[in-house]
Amino acid sequence: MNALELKNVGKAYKGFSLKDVSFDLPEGYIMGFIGENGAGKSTTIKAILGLVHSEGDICVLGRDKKEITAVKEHIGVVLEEATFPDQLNLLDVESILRGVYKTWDQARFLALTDTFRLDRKKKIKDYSRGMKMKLALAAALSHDSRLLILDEPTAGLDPVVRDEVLDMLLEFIQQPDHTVLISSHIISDLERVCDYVTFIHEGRILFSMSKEALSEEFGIFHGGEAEVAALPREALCGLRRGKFGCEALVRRNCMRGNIPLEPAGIEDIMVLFVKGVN
Amino acid sequence: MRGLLKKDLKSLAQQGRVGVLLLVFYAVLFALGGNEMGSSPLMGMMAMLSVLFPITALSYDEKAHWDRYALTMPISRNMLVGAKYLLSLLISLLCALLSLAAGLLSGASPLGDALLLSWVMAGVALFLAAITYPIYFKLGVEKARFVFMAVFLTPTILLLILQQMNVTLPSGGGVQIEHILPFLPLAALALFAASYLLSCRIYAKKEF
Repeated sequence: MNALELKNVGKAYKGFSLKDVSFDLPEGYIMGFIGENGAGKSTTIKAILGLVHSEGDICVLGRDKKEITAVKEHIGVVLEEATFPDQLNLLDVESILRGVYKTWDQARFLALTDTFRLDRKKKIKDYSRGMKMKLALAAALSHDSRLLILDEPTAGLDPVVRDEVLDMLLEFIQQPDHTVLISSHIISDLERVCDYVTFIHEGRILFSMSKEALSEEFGIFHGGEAEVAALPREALCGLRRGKFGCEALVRRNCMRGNIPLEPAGIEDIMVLFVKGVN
Repeated sequence: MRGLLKKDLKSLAQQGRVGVLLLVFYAVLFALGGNEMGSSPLMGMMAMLSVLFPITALSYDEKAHWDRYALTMPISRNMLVGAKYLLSLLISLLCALLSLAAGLLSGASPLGDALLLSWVMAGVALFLAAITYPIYFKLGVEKARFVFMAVFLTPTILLLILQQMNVTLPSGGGVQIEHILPFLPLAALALFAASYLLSCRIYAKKEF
């Protein structure tokens, strides 16, 4: 079963539009959602959560987008910049969420926030960006969440806490019916935890595939201008020219002959795709 | 709904304490003074406060992008709107009770009058909330502030202009204001309900 299905999702704004966004996220896996700033990651996530009105079909945990409120008990969300009002403290937040989620687990929330070293009496307005993220993450993990949707959850966190957060995601995914969609700029984080990668560029999905399929699909070719020019045109996806030669992102199945290729990391793929061939 | 109300009450707690202290202070002042105006200035203040509190809650929400976050929880858009109306209802009720107590303590007015005054005050508070909310949900706190001021200043300015021009206002066709006064809060309540429905429609179209 798919935890998340998007089919031809679209949303038009002035100067930017999301077009034909389609991908599936099977239950039990972590999907990394990547793309440069303004590529449409947050808009897609908002469309999934019904925060913006969109075209196309979206199915979350088996429910159509019109009925999404019914499954929100089982969705844990961390959004950039969206948090609790300034005047509250952690204990207020706990008591509020206890009134919101039927499956709220007070002990788990307090244990998680202790792990994150969050002050219980400090007001939210005195929390740093990273602390607010940790608070939201603890909240997302303290009710019966089966799907986590995280928009840049590791932004603003130091490497040690980022590592803790990623471990928590890996622990979360141990349950077979648990699924994660995570958008991030910190590709190394995604490389570590993701099973699938979906890449959005200028409002369109360029690819959505498993990490293994990705390394089978793409490779990096190193060589001079002339050698790159000799590569089959259809194989070339992106090109970076440097002092000591060129680095080209190529599709392996379009290459002819036995040309040596290096494996392409997610970051290489993203950066070179965005650079393009020109 | 319980969680949402808790959130507003908790985030308003600090300001609320100051507000209540202020009200109690004035209530005591009026009760002791027993001045000719009775408790009507106090009532006006309470009506204003019962609108200002929910608006303050709205501005906290807006600053934290709370709505965007709340809508990822098992909370529907209508519930989010409804919680604000419920908050207004609660605060209006509280203010009405306070003004009733002040009215009785001052001893200036008999029980019937004090009851009527509190009832009317609650009506004024609900009337103000009914007008304010749809504007706030439509425009957001920043822009709505100006519209809010305009809405409340216009009748005053109009009255002043009419007075300057020596226009006599219609006297109500012989109907004594005392006779219709008890029913005005009922009209305000109906307007409040209609306003809730309008706010829900406005909010349903919003994007976060």
